[in-house]
Amino acid sequence: MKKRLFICILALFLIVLGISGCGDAKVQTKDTNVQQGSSDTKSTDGGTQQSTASSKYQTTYGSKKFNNVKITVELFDRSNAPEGSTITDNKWVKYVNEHMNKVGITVEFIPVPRWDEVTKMQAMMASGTAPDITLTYTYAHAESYFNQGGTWDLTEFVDGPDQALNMKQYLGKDVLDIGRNANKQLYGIVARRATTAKSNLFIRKDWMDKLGLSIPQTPDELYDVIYKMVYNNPDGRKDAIGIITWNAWNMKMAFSQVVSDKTKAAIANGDDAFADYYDPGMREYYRFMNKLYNAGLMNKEYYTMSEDNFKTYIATGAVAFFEYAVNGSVDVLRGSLLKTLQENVPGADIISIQPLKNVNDGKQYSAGYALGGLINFCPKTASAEKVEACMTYLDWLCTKDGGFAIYHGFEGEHFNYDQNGVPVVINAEYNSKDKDWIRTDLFLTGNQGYFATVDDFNACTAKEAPGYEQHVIDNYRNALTGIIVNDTTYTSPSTPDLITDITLVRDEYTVQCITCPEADFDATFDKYMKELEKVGIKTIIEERSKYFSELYKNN
Amino acid sequence: MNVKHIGKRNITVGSVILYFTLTILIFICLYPFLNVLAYSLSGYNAVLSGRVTFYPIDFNLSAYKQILGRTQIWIAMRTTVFVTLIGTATSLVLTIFAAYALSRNYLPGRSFFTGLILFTMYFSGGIIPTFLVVKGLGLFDTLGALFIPQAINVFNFIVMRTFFRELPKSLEEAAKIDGASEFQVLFKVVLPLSLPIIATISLFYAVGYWNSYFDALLYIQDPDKYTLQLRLRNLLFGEELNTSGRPNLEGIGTEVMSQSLKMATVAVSTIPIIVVYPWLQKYFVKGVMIGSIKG
Repeated sequence: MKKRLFICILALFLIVLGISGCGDAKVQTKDTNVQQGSSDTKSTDGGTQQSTASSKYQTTYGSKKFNNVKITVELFDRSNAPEGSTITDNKWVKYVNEHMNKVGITVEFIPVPRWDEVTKMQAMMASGTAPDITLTYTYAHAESYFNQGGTWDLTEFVDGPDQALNMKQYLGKDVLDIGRNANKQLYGIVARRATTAKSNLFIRKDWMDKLGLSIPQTPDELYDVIYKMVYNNPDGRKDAIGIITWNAWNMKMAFSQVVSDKTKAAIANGDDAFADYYDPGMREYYRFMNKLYNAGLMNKEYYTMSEDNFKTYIATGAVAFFEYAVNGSVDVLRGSLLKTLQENVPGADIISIQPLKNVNDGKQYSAGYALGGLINFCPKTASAEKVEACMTYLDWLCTKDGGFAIYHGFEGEHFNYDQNGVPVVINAEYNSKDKDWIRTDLFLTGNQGYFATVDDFNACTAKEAPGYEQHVIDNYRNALTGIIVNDTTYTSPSTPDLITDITLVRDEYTVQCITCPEADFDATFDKYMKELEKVGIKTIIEERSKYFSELYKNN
Repeated sequence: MNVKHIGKRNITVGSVILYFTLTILIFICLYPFLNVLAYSLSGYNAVLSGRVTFYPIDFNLSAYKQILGRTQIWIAMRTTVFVTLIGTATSLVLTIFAAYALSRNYLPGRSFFTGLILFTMYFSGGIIPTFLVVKGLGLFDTLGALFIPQAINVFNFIVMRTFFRELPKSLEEAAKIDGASEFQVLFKVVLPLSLPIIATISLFYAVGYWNSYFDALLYIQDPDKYTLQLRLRNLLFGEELNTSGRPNLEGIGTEVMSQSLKMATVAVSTIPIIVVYPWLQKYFVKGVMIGSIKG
């Protein structure tokens, strides 16, 4: 009996010891992290402090020789590998490994079907099979995995003064900070966009010239111009459509009352319904559209139009004015609308124009994409050493040998520098088969290419649309004219639950607001606001207000 | 005389109206397919200008060349054909065994097992738990993952069980009196009488396997094991992401496919399975008839 009691006490003691031991270890680790974090912060702020002591993890490419570490990296598969190569066995995968082997790292790519990346990522994360570098465009997923403890805090791999130097130089602080949560912990490495140009206003220049009109600068001038184009059509078309806005991002900027305030503009961003409710200027935007609709300047059933139909109207010469993606008029990948239009209607021309002046303050505002593209993060299934190697890989991608070579290829083979130092493609067809099919997906730290400046991007992109170079340059310049209002990437906690109902209300009432008789407009818009409140828009606006007020309080 | 006779018998106002109406109905039914084919075979300008209806304009095969010119498509086609054949055979064997056994009144625990199977029709484990099971069984990234986890479709199982149950009992009794075992009864008596239902269920399974893409998406890692539908879907949408208003997307610099390519993809994915229909048609019709007589 005594023996049994002794054993029980011993067992209990061991259990307590074990639990307390675990607890201590945890606390210690946590403390170490905090210390590490704070010392890093100090050193970053102080600049020169701690310059002699090297960080625990070395993530600048070339600063450390790893002992044959193998990392797995997610790679979007678009089923577009040319003959003779596969997504995981090709010249560029070998090129990556040649360079990474020099520092003792082997990179294995895990292909994921591009369109279903989120589903696949969720399954892999939940089952512990996610690659060491996993990526997504939905930051909310990455942040929530981090908050649940499923991914690594990259702060101690990147923030040290001697860590990830190439990455910091290429991405810049603004882009790097997008991957931080409210506690400034780095949960992911965000890719930098080469340009944030998003949307453009396009107009039929030939019609404008024939009617002796000048480029509209305000909404009222726009109304007059398109009215004349439709009712006094130079081509004698009876089916002319005054305006179609595939995306009304820049049009809305001309009416917004919050764009001049960074915090308010951020709160109103994220979904059209947020702006409709939060931004008093949106009432005037819809009133303007309603006026256009009732004047017969819009397609009667514009709300049922598919993107293909939209492009068809433009390519057949029926549209006077439209808002579309930044390079939508000449983009080869969007169907070269202008080229097709000129085949159908000889002499026709479409140009992009600068954003209209805001009706409230007379300034020009342009909508821009968020500064960041996709986000890379490391699941906890990877060891610390692997994460160190992953960050080294991402650091290498920010170098000339890395991202630049993957994106532009090699001088003499894929491109030559012009007099301004811009890489100019030698043979587009060769490039598309040799590297273009995989370049955007391999280059994880940049979206739309490796470019030092927006101008380099514009010059290089213009070369890819032969015959329409000036259009491309004008398009990108116009899209970033005036004050740029960049998209935000924050998703408030209630948004996923409420957004479906909000979208339904938005879709129904925005159409009603535009198509109702002018006399009923205010009543319809008021009803829209009430319906939005019923489905909980206030909660989202409050959450966004709290988040962005906090975020920008020092700015 | 003959012509007159035929004319006299067939051409009445009623039949003209009937045939005219039916022709229009056929056209309405076929129009979407014709439109798909016409788009897939039309020239670039015609497609972008919206001039294509039900016949190709500026006939060209470039969309098909683009799709069928890719080795990956043929590898995927091979995988899909393999999975469809093996999967259908596996499903059929398992469904027949399960349905036959559970259609016998004398099987102990019959309703318990049927209940277990029926339960899965209404409640599933969800994506992640199922994924973990597949991974735990060592099926992850193997072709087996594409047909073993869903080998038995409960609906097909019920249809087959009901069919077996309605076969006259006296046939089975007669065979048993002659000394047949359970297997002999199944193979020599029941199955030969069940060809219509087997053909019907085979078709259901085959179409299911042919169209399946989600299992391949989840359970397959190696691109050489992608199924045709996953490849085509990837081909179709993977390059298509554009500025759809969501700030998180890539935005510019992505590729958009022409309508022709989309339509050619639809044609490539549906035509092979449509070709199989006429071969099974006779069984299919017969199966439906037998069901209706007995029902």
